[in-house]
Amino acid sequence: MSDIEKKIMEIFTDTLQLEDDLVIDPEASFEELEIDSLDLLEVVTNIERSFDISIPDDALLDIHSAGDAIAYVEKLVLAK
Amino acid sequence: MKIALDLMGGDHAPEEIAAGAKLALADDPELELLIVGSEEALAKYFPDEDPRIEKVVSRSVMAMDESVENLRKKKDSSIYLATEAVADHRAAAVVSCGSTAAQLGAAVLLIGRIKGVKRPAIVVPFPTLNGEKLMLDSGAVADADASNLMDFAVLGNAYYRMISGVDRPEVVLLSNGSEAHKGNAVVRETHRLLSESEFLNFKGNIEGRDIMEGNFDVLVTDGFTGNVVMKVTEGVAMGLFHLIKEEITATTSRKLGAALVKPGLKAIAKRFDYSTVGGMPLLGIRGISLVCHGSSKAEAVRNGIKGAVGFVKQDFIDVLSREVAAYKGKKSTLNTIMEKIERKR
Repeated sequence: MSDIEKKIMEIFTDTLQLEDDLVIDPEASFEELEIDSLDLLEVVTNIERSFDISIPDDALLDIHSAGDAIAYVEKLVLAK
Repeated sequence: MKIALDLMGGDHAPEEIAAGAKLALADDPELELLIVGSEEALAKYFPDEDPRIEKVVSRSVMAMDESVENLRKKKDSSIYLATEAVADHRAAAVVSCGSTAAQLGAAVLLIGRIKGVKRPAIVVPFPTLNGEKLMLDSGAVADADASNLMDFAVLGNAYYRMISGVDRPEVVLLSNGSEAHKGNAVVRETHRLLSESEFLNFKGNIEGRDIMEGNFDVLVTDGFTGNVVMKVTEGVAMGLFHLIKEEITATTSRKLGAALVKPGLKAIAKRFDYSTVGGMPLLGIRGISLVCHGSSKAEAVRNGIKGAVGFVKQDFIDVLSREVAAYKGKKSTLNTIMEKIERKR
């Protein structure tokens, strides 16, 4: 697991207030996980703060799971 | 004490909000306001420098019908900046008559939730024949699930204990029948969870017609139903008063009698007047964000600001945090959802 992946999974766990030993399936969609728009807004804001990046609204349309978020942030951070 | 005020939120903003702010400042010499509004509104309503007023310029407003996602684009909106002032400890509480969704979103995003609470609720005092009781949620979470309703029950229970001193408040759930099998799927599941909880003094379901009897302390419902209940009650009360006024002034002899009952009727009307309360806090937030009625005028804003000062003095965030922690232990609200998903797979 890369540092970015680990950090993003931590953000999901902290923001959604999950127990530490509970692991989110990165492939599960936000819909399946019952993550609503406010949850997502919190998660995205925390990712942006944590990595000092800005995720454009257009990009959010393609992020449907934790795995999508990891892939997007990895691409953005590598391009920095 | 400094309170952040959203000058631009509400049906009568900024004029009535500004008028309410001035009344509140006149009432309380200790009060300071951090007023967030457009350059134009600030210049128009607060043209002079006042050591008790800090002005913050906003460039946009979150409209009543705007989705919460737009907060990302509107970090210069009045509600965002006013809430940020609380998050940054530049103000002790935020007061707004604007979009509840935007206020909730800003509060969750910037101030944060009490650990264990997935969604905050708006708690309102409800006038009944048995005194004033609490109802929550009155409009923050329209699509609440059973886990949200359990959070509301715990928050309402803790808050009622604090303000009343009652050790085991009686908690009831709003449904369309008193039996456990009545209600939609969410209500039935919530009834099951509440019945199993030893933490709460759950007294079962009550129907809408029983609310006015007030045989409970805390009434739990979702934000959609709670908001409808609150506004129907206001509407029925206003309608009844209109009919009474019509009838008791219909003839000269009745008018003589009307003079005698007028003070009593006025006192009852005051109990149902939301402007006397001003606003109520979002319970479940790690700070104080006071939601006021969208149609608030100066008097309601004045009372909202006064209420915010009172809530800050109550210092109830720690009390609620402890109660939620005691109820939840280490179990998070989402775990039940995750377990459900695991079972599905």
